[in-house]
Amino acid sequence: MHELSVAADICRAVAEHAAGRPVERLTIEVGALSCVNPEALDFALDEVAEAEGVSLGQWTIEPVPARARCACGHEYEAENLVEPCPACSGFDREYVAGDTVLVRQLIVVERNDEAD
Amino acid sequence: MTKRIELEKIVIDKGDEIALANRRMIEEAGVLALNLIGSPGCGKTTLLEHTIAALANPADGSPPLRIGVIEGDVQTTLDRDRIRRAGAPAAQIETDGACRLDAAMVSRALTELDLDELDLLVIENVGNLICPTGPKLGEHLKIAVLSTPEGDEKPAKYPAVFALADAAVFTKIDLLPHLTYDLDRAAGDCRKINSRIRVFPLSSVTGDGMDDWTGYLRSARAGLVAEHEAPGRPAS
Repeated sequence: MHELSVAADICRAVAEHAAGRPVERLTIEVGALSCVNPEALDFALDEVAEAEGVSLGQWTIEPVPARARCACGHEYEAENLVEPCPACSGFDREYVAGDTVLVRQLIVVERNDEAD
Repeated sequence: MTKRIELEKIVIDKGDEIALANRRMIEEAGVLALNLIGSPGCGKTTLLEHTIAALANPADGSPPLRIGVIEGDVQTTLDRDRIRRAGAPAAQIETDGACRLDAAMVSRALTELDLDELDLLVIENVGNLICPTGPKLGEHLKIAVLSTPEGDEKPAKYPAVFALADAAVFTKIDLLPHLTYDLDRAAGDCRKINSRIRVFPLSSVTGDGMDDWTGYLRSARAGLVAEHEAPGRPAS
């Protein structure tokens, strides 16, 4: 259940970057190769944000599939990693996305005091 | 008046600042670091005991390499003690329930080791084929360890660690006569998942295959040192 520690990392990072400004919206990307379960992370974020007293605003978790770039030039979503490239049937490929957990979007509300 | 502003994206579990700082510190000492990932009981610690011995006294007369180990377990210092008995300095991380190591834990454990006295640092992750896959700890190479009794279908069933690993070590090949285990299938699936992966079938106890494995570590370490000493490298 490492999603709890991932949730704690997210809360810490968001609080740090928001620097006291209210968080309105958060989009989190979870790569398939990161071995983080999106549903478990959703649950963990609820628990950790409440326990830590951090407001995350409205959050969305987007699963990101593993993305492979084949030597033939074809780039595709690799759902089953032992299946070959659908274009050339080869296996000479590298993974170019889907190996990380990322806060892709963080929108905070900033008050402009001068205008008050 | 208020306005909404969008901040820069934040990477959570990969290449974070602590992992980068660990790696910088390890590299400045000329040390190559490995992150060893495999199930409980797959033979990670036994592999290390025999790797320490093989690199301390190379049969082919090549210069010895000194290994230091950071052990990760849920509890006990049993593995640290085993590594010390095998003649290498070791630090233990007890994760108190956590299913994997993270860069901050490794950063604390690094203070217990004298990197200047080492050539290789092996971070043995908590026994688990899934959870340790994502976080970077500051290593140069990620090594997946799989024992033959676990079954030849494991790379296909748990592909992520093999997709991201630089090498896979198949341990306990001395047990092959007693198992229905197809080494070619396991190795073949690894290479399908990751065409760049190096595969090392070996037995720590009989020594079969150990030379290829230690040769790999030796050349990876030499590569790191050469990279550091290469002319034209910007001073840091």
